Parts: sequence; structure tokens; C-alpha cells
Amino acid sequence: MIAYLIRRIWQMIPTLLGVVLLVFFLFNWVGGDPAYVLAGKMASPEDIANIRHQLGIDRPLWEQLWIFIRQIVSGDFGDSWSTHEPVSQIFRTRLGPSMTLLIPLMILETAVAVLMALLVSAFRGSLLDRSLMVASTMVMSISLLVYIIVGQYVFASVLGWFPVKGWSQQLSQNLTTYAVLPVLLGLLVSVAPSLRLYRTFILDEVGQDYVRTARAKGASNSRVLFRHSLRNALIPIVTILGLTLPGLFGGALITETLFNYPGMGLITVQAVQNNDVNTVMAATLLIALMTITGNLLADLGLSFVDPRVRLGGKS
Amino acid sequence: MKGKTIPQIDRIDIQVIEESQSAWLSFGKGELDMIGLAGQFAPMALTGDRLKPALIQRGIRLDRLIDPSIAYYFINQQDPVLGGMSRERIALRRAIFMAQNDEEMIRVIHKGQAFRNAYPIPDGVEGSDPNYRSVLNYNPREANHLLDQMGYAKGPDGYRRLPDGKPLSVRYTTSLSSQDRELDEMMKKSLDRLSIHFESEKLKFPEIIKAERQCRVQMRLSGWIADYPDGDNFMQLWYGPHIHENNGSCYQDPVWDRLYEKTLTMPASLQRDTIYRQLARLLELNGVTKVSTSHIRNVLSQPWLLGYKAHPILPSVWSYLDIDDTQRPKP
Repeated sequence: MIAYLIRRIWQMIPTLLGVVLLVFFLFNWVGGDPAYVLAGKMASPEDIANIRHQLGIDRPLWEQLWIFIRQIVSGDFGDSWSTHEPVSQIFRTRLGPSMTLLIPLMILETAVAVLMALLVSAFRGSLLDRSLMVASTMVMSISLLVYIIVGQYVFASVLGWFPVKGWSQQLSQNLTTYAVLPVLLGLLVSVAPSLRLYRTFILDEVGQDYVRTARAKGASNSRVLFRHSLRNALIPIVTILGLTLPGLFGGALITETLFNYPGMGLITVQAVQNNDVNTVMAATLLIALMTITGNLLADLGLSFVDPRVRLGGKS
Repeated sequence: MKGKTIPQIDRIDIQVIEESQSAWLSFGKGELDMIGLAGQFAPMALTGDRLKPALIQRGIRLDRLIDPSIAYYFINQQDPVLGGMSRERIALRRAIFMAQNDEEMIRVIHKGQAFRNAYPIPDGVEGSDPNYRSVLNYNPREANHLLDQMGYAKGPDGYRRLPDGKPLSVRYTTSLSSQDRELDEMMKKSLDRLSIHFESEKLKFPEIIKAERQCRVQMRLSGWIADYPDGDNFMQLWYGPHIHENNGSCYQDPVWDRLYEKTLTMPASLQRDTIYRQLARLLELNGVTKVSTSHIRNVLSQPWLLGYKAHPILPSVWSYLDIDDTQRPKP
């Protein structure tokens, strides 16, 4: 296992290098020049040139790339171009709020989608199955933005069940008060595609010979579903879970912006609006790193759910 | 606040809320103590210039003042298609300005929270002139007549062409915000009135500023708010040596510059105001700019917030505020 981990981490380096080059050249091409806004309303061309010099964006491209690589290796991404706060400090303070939203959402989404998929698989073709599939399609067809706008109005403003927006320094208060509505609305949107997908995985297994054999031997419905079908269906589910985290981060851009939640999503949106390329590049790299790590975790998870998978050894 | 030492509040939490609906609903629930009312929510909070009775009953207060600001259209004077000082080009620019329906802009975009102001120096700023009469008021019939006279004939596609027969279109630069999408639609409508092709250039705000300072923006609706309450802060926007700085229209006219330089040596006075009027008129006659509107600032505050008084220029009112905890709802 350790040898496998080292090999996988070693393999991550060229992937990350590719991402670094892509991010650097992409943002140099489309990132824009923040000096004109940072200089203020009454700035002269000299003021703007000074700011460009301070930001280092007047240097040759290869020199800027070298600085960027050094920043990544040292973990010090310099200061935000718009707020002058160290980017690493921004991430340290913003990652917590984002995780307060994303981790409960991911756990709930997986649990609810798997349980519902098992339920509809058990009653395949029934009214319940068809109703849930139609409802899933309808739920998926509407943007998260609409859910949030309507949800804030109905549940927070009219019914008063939740705060409209907000954030506290206490984790318990965030989990029980401020994160509840964003997580529930995020769950509403994300559970539908997962349910449809997981249902397919489980139904694929339900049709297999080993399931027929188990039934022939007198195994109960729940035993067939939970002990036999689910364990095999978990293999693609775990693979997909590994790729879910960066996707959830994408949803956090919208959720955090509308709930004014001080997480990575909100700061990334603000950084894009302000041409704060330093912060945007670091956030993009973080998402890339999350994707690669998610893949690795999925592979590791597979070895737990599927005894046939032997990491680093003979299968 | 009488007799109290300042500041009274230990911590001020200034929240930049990207979505105005969140801000509005949050204020409605008492989660925010005060809020700058976004234009789109003005119809929900105000009837004309007064707070709705339901909000008055809740003890919510409205502070309303005229922002010392202007929104003005400008056309790049160095642009190869629209720029230059020939009679045809000046006529074209004036026609474009005359096709802009400012009243519709106030109604649709600003939900009534703005008013027509044609003078470059807004109300409340030294040198303003509430009696100034613009020569570029909304008049599409006159604008079309002007274009016909100057040889901007319509082609087979029904759109006007330049007097030399080359295609004519106006590139209008706006940001990516939802309000700016509405501005695009209004400009398209305005140019359709003249049978001129509309082109939209969408840039992020910092990129707009960069393009403007490099004289690459063809036409834009820009804004300026007073840094100090003197007319010079506004008139400098068209001063020739300020090209690549704040002179987004890249206008350089020796006559205008000489007059402006004269005002720099003068105190605020009737004589200086007279020159300001000449400068404003020249901007219109040369088709450089059309000042469109000035805005109204509405700030709503909860009954438990004490001591707030809106100030047109000074943004730091925080030290004069207090909170009456007995009135504030418990979280």
C-alpha cells in the first residue's frame, strides 16, 4: 500500500506540472491587468506603471512563470492583488467555511442518493420508482440559482425557518443554523443526478447471475440488496465520489455568493471580478489538486470495497 | 448621540453582498442594521420618494440624498469611425446622443431612483447649474434628420452607412453584470431608432478601465462620483492632458483646454461658473459627451440603529453610530 501511495504521488507531479503551465499561460492570456483599477480614479500612467512593477507583471513571461513555480513549491502565493492579504492566509481562513458546507453536503448526498437508489431498485418499475425518476429529471432541469433565490425567499424570509445568510465563528452554530439552508438546497440539486446514476449501478448488479443464485438459495430481498448488490455497486459509486468534491466546489461558487458565505467560492468569484489573478490561479490549482487527490482517494477506497483490488500488488 | 463619546460601537461588520436579493431579504429579517438600497428593490421599499407604510410601521428609517455623481455617455474622439472633428462625424455623434432616451433609462434601469441631469457638474457640487438646458435631449426624429442631411444614407439592409458608403456600426462597451445587459438592450433600441448597427463589447470592469485609458473604447456609459465637492473634479474628465488618465473620450481641443486651464486659477465664483457653462456647451456641440443622469442614494436603517445621517461624500459614518440593544431582536 505504501509503495502504491508513493508511486501515485510521484505520478501526480507531471500532472500538476501540466496544470501549472496551463493555469499560468491561460491566466496570462485572459487574466487581465488589475493595475488600472488598483491605481484608483485619479491615476497617471506612471502610477499604473509603478503598480505593474510592484505586482511583477511587467517582467518577462519566463521570469513570472519561475516566480509562480517557486510560490507553489513554497506554498506562499504572495499577496492578493486586490486586498493585499496573503493568499495563503485567505485560503486558511476561507477553507473552513467552505468545508462546513461541502462535507455535510457530500455525506448527506451520498447517503440519501444510495438509500433512495436502493429503495427504487427494490421497487423497480413501480409507481414509486417512476415518480422518483420523473421528479429527479424535473429537479435536475432547474438551475441551483433558482432554488437558492426561491429558497431564501420562502424558507428564510417568509417562513423564517432559517437565516437568509450569515456566518458565525462557532462551528456548531454554523452547522445547525447558517449552513442548513445552503446544504439542503445543494442537496436538492445534487441528489437527483446521483440517484439516477446509483440506481443504474444497483440495477446492473440486481440482474447478475450471483444475485439470482442468492435469491434461489432463499436470501431475503434486503440481504440481496444490502449484502450482495450494494457491495458490488459501491465500486463505481466510490469512483464517482472521488470526483465529486471538485464538482461540489463549483456549486459552492454560486451557493457561497448568494448566501454571502465567506468561503473559497465567494473569494474566488470576487477575485475573478477584480482581476485578482494571484488568488484565482491559486484557487484553480487548489481545485486541480482536489481533483487529483479525489482520484487517489477513490482508488484507495476501491481496495476497501472490493477485495479483488490489491493496490501495488498482484490482483 | 448627544453626550455620548464616540465611537460607541466596538465592531462594525461591513458585508459586501454580491446579490442584492440576499441583502434585501436579510435586512427585512433584521439581520442587517442598515443597507444601501439597490435600485431594483426601490419599488418594494418606496412609493415615489417615501418609504412604504409597512416599513414605516416597523420603524425603519429612510435616508435619501442626491449622490454627487453623473452618468455620462462618451464617444472616443480618436476612434477611426466615430471620432474626429469633421461636420459629418460631429453630426453622427450628436445624433447618437439624441437617440438616448434618458427618461426610459431612469424608469427601466434605475427604477425611478435617478433624474435627468444634463450638466457635467451634479447638484451639491460647487459650480453645478440646475438651469442648464441641454441641446442633446432625446429627439430621435431630429437625430434621423441630422443623419439624412449629412449623407448617412440607408443601405439595402435598411441600416445606415457612412457617407463614403462604408458600413457603419457602433461598438458599445459594457461589463458582464446583469444591469449592463439591460444597458445593452437599451442601446440597441436607441441605435435601432437611427437604423445604425449595434455591436456589444463585453469586458470585465478592470479591462474596461484599461481599454478606456488606452483610448480603445468606442462608446460607453460611464460614471463619476465626486472625490471633493468642486466642479473641477468633474470638468477634468475632458481635459486633453488627462488622456490615458480620466479622459476616456480622449478629447483634445485647444480651445476647451485653454478655457479649462483658466478655471484652474480661479476661485469658485460666478466667473468660473460662466466658463464651466461654456465648457459644458462645447462638449455637447462637439459631440464628445452627453451627461445623462444623476442618482439618488437611499439608505435604510433599522429602528435600533442610532445616529445615522447620510453624507454625500464622507463614507465613514461608523464612529457616529450606536445600537439600541433593547430594540434589537435577539438572534
